[in-house]
Amino acid sequence: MTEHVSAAELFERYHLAVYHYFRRLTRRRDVAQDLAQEVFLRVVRDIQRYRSIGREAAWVFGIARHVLAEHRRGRQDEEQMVSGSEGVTSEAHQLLAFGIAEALDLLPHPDREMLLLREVGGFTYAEIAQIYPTSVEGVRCRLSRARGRLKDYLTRGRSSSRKHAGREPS
Amino acid sequence: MKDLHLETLSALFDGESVDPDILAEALADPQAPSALRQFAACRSELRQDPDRPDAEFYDSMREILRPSLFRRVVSRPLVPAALGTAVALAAGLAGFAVRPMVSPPSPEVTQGIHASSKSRGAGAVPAQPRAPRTGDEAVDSSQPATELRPADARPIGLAEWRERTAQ
Repeated sequence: MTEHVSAAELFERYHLAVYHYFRRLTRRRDVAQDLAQEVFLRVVRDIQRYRSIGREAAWVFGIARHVLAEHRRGRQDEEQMVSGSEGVTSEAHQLLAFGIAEALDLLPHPDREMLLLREVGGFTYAEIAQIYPTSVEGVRCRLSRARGRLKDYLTRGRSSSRKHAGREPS
Repeated sequence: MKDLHLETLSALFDGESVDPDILAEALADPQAPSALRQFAACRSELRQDPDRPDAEFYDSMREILRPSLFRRVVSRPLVPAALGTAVALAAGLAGFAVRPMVSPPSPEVTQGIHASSKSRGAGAVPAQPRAPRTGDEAVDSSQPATELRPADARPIGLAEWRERTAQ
Protein backbone atom coordinates (compact mmCIF):
# COMPACT_ATOMS: atom_id res chain seq x y z
CA MET A 1 0.00 0.00 0.00
CA THR A 2 1.40 3.36 -1.00
CA GLU A 3 1.44 5.98 1.66
CA HIS A 4 1.11 9.70 1.22
CA VAL A 5 4.28 11.61 1.78
CA SER A 6 4.44 14.60 4.08
CA ALA A 7 5.62 18.09 3.22
CA ALA A 8 8.64 17.55 5.44
CA GLU A 9 9.62 14.46 3.47
CA LEU A 10 9.22 16.31 0.17
CA PHE A 11 11.38 19.12 1.52
CA GLU A 12 14.10 16.68 2.51
CA ARG A 13 14.09 15.06 -0.91
CA TYR A 14 13.77 18.04 -3.23
CA HIS A 15 14.77 21.27 -1.56
CA LEU A 16 18.32 21.27 -2.93
CA ALA A 17 17.19 20.46 -6.46
CA VAL A 18 14.55 23.20 -6.27
CA TYR A 19 17.05 25.66 -4.86
CA HIS A 20 19.64 24.90 -7.55
CA TYR A 21 16.96 25.09 -10.22
CA PHE A 22 16.03 28.60 -9.10
CA ARG A 23 19.61 29.74 -8.58
CA ARG A 24 20.60 28.62 -12.05
CA LEU A 25 17.60 30.41 -13.50
CA THR A 26 17.80 33.64 -11.51
CA ARG A 27 21.57 33.72 -10.84
CA ARG A 28 20.77 35.06 -7.37
CA ARG A 29 21.04 33.09 -4.14
CA ASP A 30 18.66 35.29 -2.16
CA VAL A 31 15.96 35.11 -4.83
CA ALA A 32 16.48 31.36 -5.20
CA GLN A 33 16.01 30.88 -1.45
CA ASP A 34 12.87 33.04 -1.39
CA LEU A 35 11.38 31.16 -4.32
CA ALA A 36 12.29 27.76 -2.85
CA GLN A 37 10.65 28.81 0.41
CA GLU A 38 7.52 29.84 -1.46
CA VAL A 39 7.43 26.47 -3.20
CA PHE A 40 7.48 24.55 0.08
CA LEU A 41 4.95 26.91 1.66
CA ARG A 42 2.59 25.87 -1.11
CA VAL A 43 3.55 22.24 -0.64
CA VAL A 44 2.61 22.49 3.06
CA ARG A 45 -0.62 24.25 2.16
CA ASP A 46 -1.69 21.81 -0.57
CA ILE A 47 -0.25 18.49 0.61
CA GLN A 48 -3.62 17.29 1.94
CA ARG A 49 -5.20 17.77 -1.48
CA TYR A 50 -2.37 16.06 -3.35
CA ARG A 51 -3.42 12.63 -4.56
CA SER A 52 -1.08 11.57 -7.41
CA ILE A 53 0.98 8.99 -5.62
CA GLY A 54 4.43 8.47 -7.10
CA ARG A 55 4.58 11.79 -8.91
CA GLU A 56 5.73 13.92 -6.04
CA ALA A 57 8.79 15.30 -7.83
CA ALA A 58 6.74 16.36 -10.84
CA TRP A 59 4.22 17.97 -8.50
CA VAL A 60 6.90 19.90 -6.57
CA PHE A 61 8.62 21.10 -9.73
CA GLY A 62 5.28 21.98 -11.26
CA ILE A 63 4.75 24.31 -8.30
CA ALA A 64 8.30 25.59 -8.78
CA ARG A 65 7.50 26.49 -12.38
CA HIS A 66 4.40 28.41 -11.32
CA VAL A 67 6.33 30.25 -8.61
CA LEU A 68 9.02 31.16 -11.11
CA ALA A 69 6.46 32.38 -13.63
CA GLU A 70 4.81 34.58 -10.99
CA HIS A 71 8.17 35.90 -9.94
CA ARG A 72 9.02 36.76 -13.52
CA ARG A 73 5.75 38.56 -14.03
CA GLY A 74 6.15 40.52 -10.81
CA ARG A 75 9.77 41.48 -11.07
CA GLN A 76 10.54 41.35 -14.76
CA ASP A 77 12.33 44.65 -14.71
CA GLU A 78 14.49 43.87 -11.73
CA GLU A 79 15.76 40.46 -12.65
CA GLN A 80 18.61 39.77 -14.97
CA MET A 81 16.87 37.00 -16.84
CA VAL A 82 17.89 36.99 -20.43
CA SER A 83 14.94 36.09 -22.58
CA GLY A 84 15.63 33.99 -25.62
CA SER A 85 18.74 32.81 -27.32
CA GLU A 86 18.57 35.96 -29.36
CA GLY A 87 19.34 37.90 -26.21
CA VAL A 88 22.65 39.47 -27.11
CA THR A 89 25.39 39.15 -24.59
CA SER A 90 27.72 42.08 -24.12
CA GLU A 91 31.23 42.14 -25.53
CA ALA A 92 32.62 42.34 -22.01
CA HIS A 93 30.57 39.31 -21.08
CA GLN A 94 31.94 37.37 -24.03
CA LEU A 95 35.46 38.26 -23.04
CA LEU A 96 35.00 36.77 -19.62
CA ALA A 97 35.91 33.19 -19.08
CA PHE A 98 32.85 31.50 -20.48
CA GLY A 99 31.24 28.98 -18.17
CA ILE A 100 28.15 26.85 -18.04
CA ALA A 101 26.26 29.47 -16.03
CA GLU A 102 26.81 32.15 -18.67
CA ALA A 103 26.00 29.75 -21.48
CA LEU A 104 22.78 28.74 -19.73
CA ASP A 105 21.75 32.39 -19.59
CA LEU A 106 21.78 32.49 -23.36
CA LEU A 107 19.29 29.68 -23.77
CA PRO A 108 15.59 30.43 -24.24
CA HIS A 109 13.60 30.05 -21.02
CA PRO A 110 11.81 26.82 -21.91
CA ASP A 111 15.00 25.15 -23.13
CA ARG A 112 16.91 26.26 -20.06
CA GLU A 113 14.19 25.13 -17.69
CA MET A 114 13.90 21.74 -19.32
CA LEU A 115 17.65 21.25 -19.31
CA LEU A 116 17.74 22.08 -15.60
CA LEU A 117 14.81 19.79 -14.87
CA ARG A 118 16.74 17.04 -16.58
CA GLU A 119 20.22 17.74 -15.22
CA VAL A 120 19.43 19.15 -11.77
CA GLY A 121 16.11 17.44 -11.07
CA GLY A 122 17.05 14.18 -12.80
CA PHE A 123 13.64 13.83 -14.42
CA THR A 124 12.86 11.55 -17.34
CA TYR A 125 11.44 12.99 -20.54
CA ALA A 126 7.98 11.74 -19.59
CA GLU A 127 8.17 13.48 -16.20
CA ILE A 128 9.35 16.74 -17.76
CA ALA A 129 6.49 16.48 -20.22
CA GLN A 130 4.10 16.33 -17.25
CA ILE A 131 5.69 19.27 -15.48
CA TYR A 132 5.84 21.57 -18.44
CA PRO A 133 3.38 20.35 -19.94
CA THR A 134 4.29 19.20 -23.43
CA SER A 135 4.86 15.97 -25.35
CA VAL A 136 7.78 13.64 -24.76
CA GLU A 137 8.90 14.37 -28.32
CA GLY A 138 8.80 18.07 -27.52
CA VAL A 139 11.03 17.54 -24.50
CA ARG A 140 13.42 15.42 -26.54
CA CYS A 141 13.64 18.06 -29.23
CA ARG A 142 14.08 20.97 -26.82
CA LEU A 143 16.73 19.21 -24.77
CA SER A 144 18.65 18.34 -27.88
CA ARG A 145 18.44 21.91 -29.10
CA ALA A 146 19.46 23.28 -25.71
CA ARG A 147 22.49 21.02 -25.61
CA GLY A 148 23.44 21.93 -29.14
CA ARG A 149 23.27 25.62 -28.35
CA LEU A 150 25.10 25.16 -25.10
CA LYS A 151 27.85 23.35 -26.94
CA ASP A 152 28.09 26.18 -29.48
CA TYR A 153 28.11 28.89 -26.82
CA LEU A 154 30.75 27.14 -24.79
CA THR A 155 32.93 26.53 -27.84
CA ARG A 156 32.57 30.11 -29.05
CA GLY A 157 32.94 31.55 -25.57
CA ARG A 158 36.03 29.57 -24.79
CA SER A 159 37.61 30.36 -28.12
CA SER A 160 36.90 34.07 -27.66
CA SER A 161 38.19 33.77 -24.13
CA ARG A 162 41.36 32.13 -25.42
CA LYS A 163 41.71 34.81 -28.09
CA HIS A 164 41.29 37.45 -25.41
CA ALA A 165 43.88 35.76 -23.25
CA GLY A 166 46.23 35.57 -26.25
CA ARG A 167 45.99 39.32 -26.78
CA GLU A 168 46.78 40.07 -23.21
CA PRO A 169 50.31 41.20 -22.55
CA SER A 170 52.29 38.49 -20.88
CA MET B 1 26.34 17.74 -37.06
CA LYS B 2 22.81 16.88 -38.11
CA ASP B 3 20.02 17.83 -35.74
CA LEU B 4 18.72 14.26 -35.83
CA HIS B 5 22.11 12.94 -34.78
CA LEU B 6 22.40 15.46 -31.97
CA GLU B 7 18.91 14.60 -30.79
CA THR B 8 19.69 10.89 -30.83
CA LEU B 9 22.90 11.35 -28.85
CA SER B 10 21.11 13.61 -26.40
CA ALA B 11 18.35 11.03 -25.86
CA LEU B 12 20.91 8.24 -25.52
CA PHE B 13 22.78 10.30 -22.94
CA ASP B 14 19.54 10.68 -20.98
CA GLY B 15 18.78 6.97 -21.05
CA GLU B 16 15.79 7.35 -23.35
CA SER B 17 14.99 4.97 -26.16
CA VAL B 18 16.64 5.69 -29.53
CA ASP B 19 16.46 4.22 -33.00
CA PRO B 20 19.47 1.85 -33.36
CA ASP B 21 20.10 2.70 -37.01
CA ILE B 22 20.06 6.43 -36.39
CA LEU B 23 22.23 5.92 -33.34
CA ALA B 24 24.80 4.10 -35.50
CA GLU B 25 24.81 7.02 -37.90
CA ALA B 26 25.06 9.54 -35.06
CA LEU B 27 27.98 7.71 -33.47
CA ALA B 28 29.76 7.64 -36.83
CA ASP B 29 29.57 11.44 -36.97
CA PRO B 30 33.05 12.92 -36.36
CA GLN B 31 31.56 15.44 -33.90
CA ALA B 32 29.84 12.78 -31.80
CA PRO B 33 32.66 12.27 -29.26
CA SER B 34 33.00 15.98 -28.54
CA ALA B 35 29.21 16.35 -28.26
CA LEU B 36 28.99 13.53 -25.72
CA ARG B 37 31.95 14.95 -23.81
CA GLN B 38 30.20 18.31 -23.72
CA PHE B 39 26.98 16.77 -22.42
CA ALA B 40 28.87 14.99 -19.67
CA ALA B 41 30.78 18.13 -18.65
CA CYS B 42 27.58 20.12 -18.45
CA ARG B 43 25.83 17.49 -16.34
CA SER B 44 28.78 17.11 -14.05
CA GLU B 45 28.99 20.82 -13.39
CA LEU B 46 25.25 21.26 -12.87
CA ARG B 47 24.87 18.28 -10.57
CA GLN B 48 27.99 18.74 -8.49
CA ASP B 49 26.95 22.14 -7.27
CA PRO B 50 28.37 22.72 -3.78
CA ASP B 51 26.20 25.75 -3.13
CA ARG B 52 23.70 25.31 -0.29
CA PRO B 53 21.01 27.64 1.07
CA ASP B 54 21.84 29.75 4.15
CA ALA B 55 21.14 28.70 7.73
CA GLU B 56 18.33 31.29 7.85
CA PHE B 57 16.59 29.45 5.03
CA TYR B 58 16.62 26.21 7.00
CA ASP B 59 15.46 28.01 10.17
CA SER B 60 12.47 29.53 8.44
CA MET B 61 11.68 26.25 6.69
CA ARG B 62 11.77 24.45 10.03
CA GLU B 63 9.07 26.83 11.27
CA ILE B 64 7.01 26.32 8.13
CA LEU B 65 7.29 22.55 8.23
CA ARG B 66 6.67 22.14 11.95
CA PRO B 67 2.87 21.85 11.66
CA SER B 68 3.35 19.42 8.81
CA LEU B 69 5.65 17.30 10.92
CA PHE B 70 3.09 17.37 13.73
CA ARG B 71 0.36 16.37 11.32
CA ARG B 72 2.50 13.52 10.00
CA VAL B 73 3.18 12.16 13.48
CA VAL B 74 -0.38 12.57 14.65
CA SER B 75 -2.35 11.68 11.59
CA ARG B 76 -1.03 8.28 10.67
CA PRO B 77 -1.01 5.58 13.31
CA LEU B 78 -2.53 7.44 16.24
CA VAL B 79 -5.72 8.78 14.77
CA PRO B 80 -7.71 5.52 14.66
CA ALA B 81 -6.58 4.61 18.16
CA ALA B 82 -7.32 8.11 19.47
CA LEU B 83 -10.75 8.13 17.84
CA GLY B 84 -11.55 4.71 19.27
CA THR B 85 -10.50 5.78 22.73
CA ALA B 86 -12.49 9.00 22.48
CA VAL B 87 -15.63 7.17 21.36
CA ALA B 88 -15.27 4.60 24.11
CA LEU B 89 -14.75 7.31 26.72
CA ALA B 90 -17.68 9.33 25.45
CA ALA B 91 -19.92 6.28 25.43
CA GLY B 92 -18.82 5.36 28.92
CA LEU B 93 -19.36 8.84 30.27
CA ALA B 94 -22.72 9.15 28.57
CA GLY B 95 -23.85 5.82 29.95
CA PHE B 96 -22.70 6.74 33.42
CA ALA B 97 -24.51 10.07 33.32
CA VAL B 98 -27.79 8.74 31.89
CA ARG B 99 -28.03 5.53 33.89
CA PRO B 100 -29.59 6.92 37.13
CA MET B 101 -32.29 8.69 35.14
CA VAL B 102 -33.42 5.81 32.94
CA SER B 103 -32.95 2.83 35.22
CA PRO B 104 -36.31 1.11 35.78
CA PRO B 105 -37.80 0.91 39.24
CA SER B 106 -36.92 -2.26 41.10
CA PRO B 107 -39.74 -4.77 40.63
CA GLU B 108 -41.70 -6.05 43.57
CA VAL B 109 -41.27 -9.76 43.36
CA THR B 110 -44.32 -11.73 44.42
CA GLN B 111 -43.84 -15.41 44.51
CA GLY B 112 -47.02 -17.26 43.81
CA ILE B 113 -49.37 -18.70 41.29
CA HIS B 114 -52.85 -17.90 40.15
CA ALA B 115 -55.64 -19.48 42.11
CA SER B 116 -57.88 -19.70 39.12
CA SER B 117 -57.13 -22.16 36.35
CA LYS B 118 -60.27 -21.58 34.32
CA SER B 119 -58.42 -20.43 31.35
CA ARG B 120 -56.56 -23.71 31.09
CA GLY B 121 -59.69 -25.80 30.66
CA ALA B 122 -61.29 -28.49 32.77
CA GLY B 123 -59.03 -30.96 34.48
CA ALA B 124 -55.98 -28.94 33.76
CA VAL B 125 -53.09 -29.40 36.08
CA PRO B 126 -52.17 -26.18 37.77
CA ALA B 127 -48.85 -24.79 36.75
CA GLN B 128 -45.89 -25.89 38.75
CA PRO B 129 -43.89 -23.17 40.40
CA ARG B 130 -40.82 -22.45 38.41
CA ALA B 131 -37.46 -23.04 39.83
CA PRO B 132 -35.36 -19.92 40.09
CA ARG B 133 -33.87 -19.20 36.67
CA THR B 134 -30.19 -19.74 36.35
CA GLY B 135 -27.94 -17.57 34.27
CA ASP B 136 -27.39 -20.09 31.52
CA GLU B 137 -31.04 -21.02 31.15
CA ALA B 138 -32.34 -20.20 27.72
CA VAL B 139 -35.23 -17.79 27.50
CA ASP B 140 -38.13 -18.89 25.36
CA SER B 141 -38.71 -15.83 23.25
CA SER B 142 -41.76 -17.34 21.57
CA GLN B 143 -43.80 -16.93 24.74
CA PRO B 144 -45.26 -13.55 25.63
CA ALA B 145 -43.28 -11.66 28.19
CA THR B 146 -46.25 -11.23 30.51
CA GLU B 147 -49.11 -13.63 31.12
CA LEU B 148 -52.57 -12.11 30.97
CA ARG B 149 -54.26 -12.60 34.27
CA PRO B 150 -58.08 -13.13 34.46
CA ALA B 151 -59.97 -10.34 36.23
CA ASP B 152 -60.99 -12.56 39.18
CA ALA B 153 -57.64 -14.09 39.66
CA ARG B 154 -56.12 -13.77 43.06
CA PRO B 155 -52.53 -14.58 43.85
CA ILE B 156 -52.14 -17.34 46.41
CA GLY B 157 -49.13 -18.29 48.43
CA LEU B 158 -47.03 -21.39 48.06
CA ALA B 159 -48.40 -22.92 51.24
CA GLU B 160 -52.01 -22.48 50.02
CA TRP B 161 -51.13 -24.02 46.68
CA ARG B 162 -49.60 -27.07 48.42
CA GLU B 163 -52.73 -27.47 50.46
CA ARG B 164 -54.89 -27.38 47.36
CA THR B 165 -52.79 -29.82 45.40
CA ALA B 166 -52.61 -32.24 48.35
CA GLN B 167 -56.44 -32.51 48.41
